[in-house]
Amino acid sequence: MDELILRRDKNIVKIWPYLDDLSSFVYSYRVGHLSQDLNRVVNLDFSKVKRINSSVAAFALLNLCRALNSSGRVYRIVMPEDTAIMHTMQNICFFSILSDKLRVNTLDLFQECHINREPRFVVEHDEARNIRTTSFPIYTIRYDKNSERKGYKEFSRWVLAKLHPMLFRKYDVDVVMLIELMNEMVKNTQDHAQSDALLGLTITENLDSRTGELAFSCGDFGIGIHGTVLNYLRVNEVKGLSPDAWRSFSIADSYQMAFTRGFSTYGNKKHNKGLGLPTILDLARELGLDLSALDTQAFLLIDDDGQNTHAGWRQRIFSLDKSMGFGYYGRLKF
Amino acid sequence: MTKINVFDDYEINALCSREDVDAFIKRLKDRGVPCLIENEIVIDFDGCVADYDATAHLIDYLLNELRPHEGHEANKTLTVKMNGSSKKEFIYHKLFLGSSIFGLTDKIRDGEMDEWDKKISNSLLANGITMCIEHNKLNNPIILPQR
Repeated sequence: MDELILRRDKNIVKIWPYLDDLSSFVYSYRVGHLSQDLNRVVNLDFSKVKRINSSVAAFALLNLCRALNSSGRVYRIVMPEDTAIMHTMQNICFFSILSDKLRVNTLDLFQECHINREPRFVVEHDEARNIRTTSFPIYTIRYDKNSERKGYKEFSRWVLAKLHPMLFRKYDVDVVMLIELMNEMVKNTQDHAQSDALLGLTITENLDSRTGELAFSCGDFGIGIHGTVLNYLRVNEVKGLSPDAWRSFSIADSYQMAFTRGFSTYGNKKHNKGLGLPTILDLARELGLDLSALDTQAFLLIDDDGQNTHAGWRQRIFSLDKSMGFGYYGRLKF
Repeated sequence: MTKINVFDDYEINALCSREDVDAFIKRLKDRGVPCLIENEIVIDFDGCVADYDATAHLIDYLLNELRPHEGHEANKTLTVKMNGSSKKEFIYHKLFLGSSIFGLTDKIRDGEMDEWDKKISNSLLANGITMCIEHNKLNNPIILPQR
């Protein structure tokens, strides 16, 4: 029976149906069941994707790329059955980013798979309720080791050009503070992960009540805050800590240290002042942003009013079964 | 009084690098702003995304413009209207980190806030300038030098 199940699934990776929901964050894409030798072409099966938005899809994309990147396989995309979903995924560049990161075969004996590479906003208008939802194209923040903040600078121009005219003085939201927070987050990601990062953004506007919600995710291919702190402690002395403290450092300890103003694992580079994470926390709280993160094997509530203490973080950390990479998720009502 | 509203007057929604600020300063100069005989400059960052270092560069420029010049009286005022986080550390980092006038090139570490206040206050006193920082979330402005 086990053998039968393995044979049935061995060349398919099924994609979670609800790519608009936080639950997709904790769905792990596995490769252990795939055929090792006989067939190296794997179907990425998007057929049952039923809902999607950019903020959650960006994180699913990151997880997929992380899980599948290391193998020498070739991937085939099985498109969503729902054509509206398929168009959304094409327009927000889900498949084009996927094919940049993985070896995707777009042509086989039977059919050709077209991949759109031109980013387009997906705007849906619920006329009955007068609610407009905009899914932004998933933005790749490119890491350039020769010009470490180039990707950040490009991103800051992009996010400013998109968000400022859409929200400033049109809604009751401090868009300047929001952009400053996103900038700080991306800067931090680029400095520490030294990898590309993906940002997804969705805005829902009630055009009658002039209220709405903005949701975003920002994830990277690095080792996360916990891993970065551990690596730092392995080779650096920190006042008040024994040299082998890292051996027993929990994720709560790492977060307490990382969110202490002035602590930086990034050395004394001119542009890095160790302001990043505490600033992100301050801005999130002042904005009323519901901010969380996935890191190592945990989901963490960052913005909660808890103190920056071991006990405070322990209350806000939820353990998962498997490492999901690193990323922030933020949701702001306005 | 010279009023500079970064977004409304100049349609600038970001001052995130020294290059951004240099371009802005050029535009100010082209318009003859600020004028040397003015006793007060009011700069309003409403609607403008600003980053530390860049902002400090602009504040340095404005303070230099207000420094006593021959034939003009001292006791001038720089009023800064800002938003964002209202934490004092954040405000100070945003306005002063990277300032060459105040010599503040590194972040505020634990217990260093008083030292920053002293440095800023001494420098402002020496130049006969008062800084008034008005934040949209604070009831009272921060007045420097501290008395």
